[in-house]
Amino acid sequence: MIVVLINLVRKKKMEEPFCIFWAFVFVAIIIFTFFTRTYYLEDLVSLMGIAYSGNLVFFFGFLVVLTVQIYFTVQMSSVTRKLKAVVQELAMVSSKLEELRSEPREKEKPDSQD
Amino acid sequence: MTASHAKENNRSKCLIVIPAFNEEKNIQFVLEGLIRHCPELDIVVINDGSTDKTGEIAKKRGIKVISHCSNMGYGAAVQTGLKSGLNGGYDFVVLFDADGQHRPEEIDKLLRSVQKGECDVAIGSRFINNRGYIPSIPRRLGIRLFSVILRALSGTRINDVTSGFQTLNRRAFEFLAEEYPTNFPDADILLLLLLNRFRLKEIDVNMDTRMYGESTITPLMTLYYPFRVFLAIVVAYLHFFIHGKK
Repeated sequence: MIVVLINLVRKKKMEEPFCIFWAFVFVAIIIFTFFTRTYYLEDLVSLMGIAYSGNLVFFFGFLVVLTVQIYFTVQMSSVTRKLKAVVQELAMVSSKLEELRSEPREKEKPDSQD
Repeated sequence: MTASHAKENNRSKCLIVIPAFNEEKNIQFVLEGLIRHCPELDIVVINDGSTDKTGEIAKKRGIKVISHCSNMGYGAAVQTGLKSGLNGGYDFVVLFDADGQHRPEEIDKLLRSVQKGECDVAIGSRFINNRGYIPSIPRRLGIRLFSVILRALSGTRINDVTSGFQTLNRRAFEFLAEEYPTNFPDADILLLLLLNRFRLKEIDVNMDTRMYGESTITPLMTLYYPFRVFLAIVVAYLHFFIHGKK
């Protein structure tokens, strides 16, 4: 997966901060997989009153996915805000440019009539 | 005193902002009405990514058009209009719908009130004398609910919290040009203005039903709308409560 991530950055399909973020997620999954083979997980499961250790793994997995979703919603909202500002600025600049382009023609009109 | 007299007397500049999305069937009529009733006021159409000929029709009538390259929503279009008013050095901005609901002859009432300094924002209200177009019962119930919430949080009674027919002085539109919600800017904007000590005044106006086409607010949006406005009200109030004046 790390190779896939690096390749996505190389092809400019993913920004570096997101690649690092996903690399951390994958490393965390690998560590957690080893952790499940230890007795600590069984202790944690019994402490939390969960019947099967698999349920705890799914629960944490669900929390990670939920956190990632919220993180990306925040990112998306930020991008939307920036996009709105860019579209507004572009619209106003385009309108001004159009005005400036038409101004000389308007100025020329009375001269040509003379 | 007409809008033109007001302009001549006070040497103040006023801009009519018309946010429009796919309004080719209505825009001609709306612009003709405005040119006829308020020939001295400047007009700008904010073409919010229309896929029809809205922008072309307005340009043909000699009206300034600012076109968004994609549809960004009603709030974004209004904000562009306010920013344009700010950049153009205008003293007053009139927000006017492109669907033919607002009557150009009523602009003078709103503008006069703001120019006299009676208020910072004049809101054209359908519910003072209940004349002209009145929305459906569910919509009226929603408006009433948000009116009650607004009164509870700000102490000011505004009957028509969803009216898009407004006139703002420079201080008010300078304030709103900075931050304006993209979707359904209604009661939350009024609350924000009231909490920041802006003076709002409702003025009795007549409104008509939309001339042609359908509203951009779909039935699904109608379900989403109260939640959005309620959330926006809570956020606006909390923001004021935590940070104080903006």
